[in-house]
Amino acid sequence: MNSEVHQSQTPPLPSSISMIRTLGLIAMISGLLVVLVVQFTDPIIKEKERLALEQAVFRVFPGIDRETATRVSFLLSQQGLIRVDEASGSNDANLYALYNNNDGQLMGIALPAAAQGYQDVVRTLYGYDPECECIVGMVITKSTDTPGMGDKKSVEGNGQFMANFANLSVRLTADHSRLAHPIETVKHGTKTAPWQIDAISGATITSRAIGNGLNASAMTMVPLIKHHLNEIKESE
Amino acid sequence: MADLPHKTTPITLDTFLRGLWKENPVFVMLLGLCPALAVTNTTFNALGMGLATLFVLVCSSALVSLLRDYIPKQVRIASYIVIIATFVTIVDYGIHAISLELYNALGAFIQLIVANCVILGRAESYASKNRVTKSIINAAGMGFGFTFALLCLGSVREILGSGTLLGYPLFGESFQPWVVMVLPPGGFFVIGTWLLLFAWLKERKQRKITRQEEAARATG
Repeated sequence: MNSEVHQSQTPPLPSSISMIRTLGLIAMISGLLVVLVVQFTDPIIKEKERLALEQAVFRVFPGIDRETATRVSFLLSQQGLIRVDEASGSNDANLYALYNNNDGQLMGIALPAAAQGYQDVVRTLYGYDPECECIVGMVITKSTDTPGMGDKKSVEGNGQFMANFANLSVRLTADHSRLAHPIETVKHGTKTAPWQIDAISGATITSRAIGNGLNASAMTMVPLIKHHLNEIKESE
Repeated sequence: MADLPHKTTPITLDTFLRGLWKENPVFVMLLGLCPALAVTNTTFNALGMGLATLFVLVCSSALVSLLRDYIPKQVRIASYIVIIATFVTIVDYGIHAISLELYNALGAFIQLIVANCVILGRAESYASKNRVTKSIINAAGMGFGFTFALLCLGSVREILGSGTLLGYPLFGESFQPWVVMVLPPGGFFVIGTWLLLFAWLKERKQRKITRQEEAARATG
């Protein structure tokens, strides 16, 4: 008796077609809105990322600005050196070269690096000088590590730590096949060699992530740059 | 929902103010605490997250309310999640296009707005049963209430943890920042203090009402 009453009070199930139609309609509205927004924002995002990258490249070389130099992007790998046209929307570049606007001479090479930090991957961009075989500057492009200790603002604001990257040795072996000494991050106050990074006290993991990122990138890129240096110099 | 009768109570100031104060999602209902604690280490991040949530709340409530007669009860949660995810994707691209700095600072918490129970709760308990205008006003109240709460947390944490407000230094060079305030434990300390303050204000108001009632009874 009770179950009969219960059954008579339960509203009938809508047909499967009606449910599929509703979900289909919602999915269609959703798809339309998302596609419209992506199409509208995509060029803005790409332009902002291009500007942020350009700003970072020039920050790596303090003496060089947009008035005096032009940036050219390349993809450098074992297969060779390929010039990347960013206007076509490609973001495959792993080497940014700065050329003097007056005489076309190579002024500096910036390279991206990344390694796992405390919370997420710490991304950096560093300047490489082929003449002195050393790193001449570094900026953080992304770090979500501990605010006040390992975040972008704190690391870049720490003059003592940033001084590590003013002349960090990445000298190659005699046969130019690898780094003579890998870059290593040491405890604060214990740096003794030019290829060592003096860590930030209280942000050791972030310091190590920066060092590991630079080391991994330099290990691969510096021998390749040495091999293709004339090509890079003449590519302007 | 198709099979529920629509309530036709009028729109009052309370429709908006309820979410802002009386039913504040963070300080009263203790909802959405994950982003409230995670991204409020600066006022700018708190404002960004608050406004992003406000946008998703208002837009999803409007669309849920608009489609409430056509969404069968059996597929309502799936429908709400798709609607919410759509607006979260829009806000994700929007923030990315407006500010790379804010986008990097908020990180995965923008995408995680999909899982914010304040938004799904509004869709299920309010927007699916009320007219579009009323749902929008109520969602705006809740959104502003959420933003207000995040600002309360973010400003205190930034002032004490960095000695700045919206990036502007407030104290001299001699100020030693309380780094713990921008770390996760600081979020718990600050929200605990705000909850204590809200509970004290609520109790004081209740005591005042009781005293007034007793006085009225004594004179009457």
